[in-house]
Amino acid sequence: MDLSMVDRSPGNYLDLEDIVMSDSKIPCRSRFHLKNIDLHSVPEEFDEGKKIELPLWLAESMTEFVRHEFPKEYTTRFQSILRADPEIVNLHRHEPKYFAKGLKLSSEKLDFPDPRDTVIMLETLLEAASRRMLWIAMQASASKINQSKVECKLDDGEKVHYSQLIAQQEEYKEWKTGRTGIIKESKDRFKSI
Amino acid sequence: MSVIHPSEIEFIAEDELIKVTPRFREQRLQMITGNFGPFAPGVPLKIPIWMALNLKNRGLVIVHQPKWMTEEKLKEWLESENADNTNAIAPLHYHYREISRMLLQNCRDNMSDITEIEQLVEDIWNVRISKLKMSCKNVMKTRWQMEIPDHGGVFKIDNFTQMEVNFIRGTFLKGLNLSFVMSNKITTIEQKAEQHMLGDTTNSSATVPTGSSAMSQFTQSQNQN
Repeated sequence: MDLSMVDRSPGNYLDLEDIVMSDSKIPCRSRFHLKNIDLHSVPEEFDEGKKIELPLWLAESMTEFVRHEFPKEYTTRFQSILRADPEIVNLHRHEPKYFAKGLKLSSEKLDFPDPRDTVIMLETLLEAASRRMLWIAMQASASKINQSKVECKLDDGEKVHYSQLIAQQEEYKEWKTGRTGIIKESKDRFKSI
Repeated sequence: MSVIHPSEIEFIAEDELIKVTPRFREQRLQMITGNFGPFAPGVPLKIPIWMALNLKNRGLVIVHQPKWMTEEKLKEWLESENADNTNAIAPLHYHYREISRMLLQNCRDNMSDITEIEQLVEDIWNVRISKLKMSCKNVMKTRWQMEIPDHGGVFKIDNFTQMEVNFIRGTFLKGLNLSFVMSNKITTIEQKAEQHMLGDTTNSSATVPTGSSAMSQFTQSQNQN
């Protein structure tokens, strides 16, 4: 996913990746006593301070009624793990679009208690993303490596980058051995049984 | 992010001139890139590599091994590269990778020490690429540590060839774009937080006269002027 599209409204309105990412939930706490809230097809009441899980796109519009909190993958505890050794963390298991969601959480429409927490989160994301990118480049250029073991740890944006790097390495190897001009079967051809 | 295919860079390298000895006779050829010839049997001349390979494949020329593409020169180069861990040495030829590949594939019968040259070129490539990757890593490190280097953040890529730069282009540009997006966001949030704090401190410390007292102070200052 292109991170520059995350915060680019209305450019990201029709972006499918952004739509899927905005559907993931974040914890919120109600500011007031809320009545007849229809979140789960049944009218509910929420006391002041009660924890509610709302999708990102809804949480952004309900800033007047709720205070937002960071999901557990973006809290200080998880960030300290990410800072220590970002290459071993399985981001896909925690959040498939980890970096895009992190960037979205820094939106002005969300109201977190302390803006410094948002800055620290972004700094952690920046370091983790850069270090992981270098690690991914190293894995892509390694000759004998199990690609599926690497891919399962990556978030969606990193997977795209990893497959591009693998393709680039293949292109280079083919050029080196002079096989660029050979006509090959297209990958889109369906073989009938 | 689109990356140039290595064969496209090789296409650019094919315009380099190489020494050949023709086996045929032909008058001067007037081409867009220049005039080549006349071709006389046994009389060496320089022609572009694309023409040399075409004529070689038809058995019409003997391609000479370039002076820089010998085992001795390449060994010296490799030793100089290994001696310096951080900076790359000026290459013997800007298109050394592409030209060595083309000549070793198409003109093996005219070359000497083929195996050694192949190995040396590969070793030189690996050493230079590892230096380039280290430099890129250092640049990205300054970005994620939010440091401004002593030289103000202006980086030069010295002594690296187009093929080498293209090899790391995808990862490096993606990393830089990512760091720009994130650091812009960080700067925006920090500036807004500062403005918010400044707005709060201004309101709490200044005594702003209100209503008629403010008007009278304004008229007094006007009268004095």
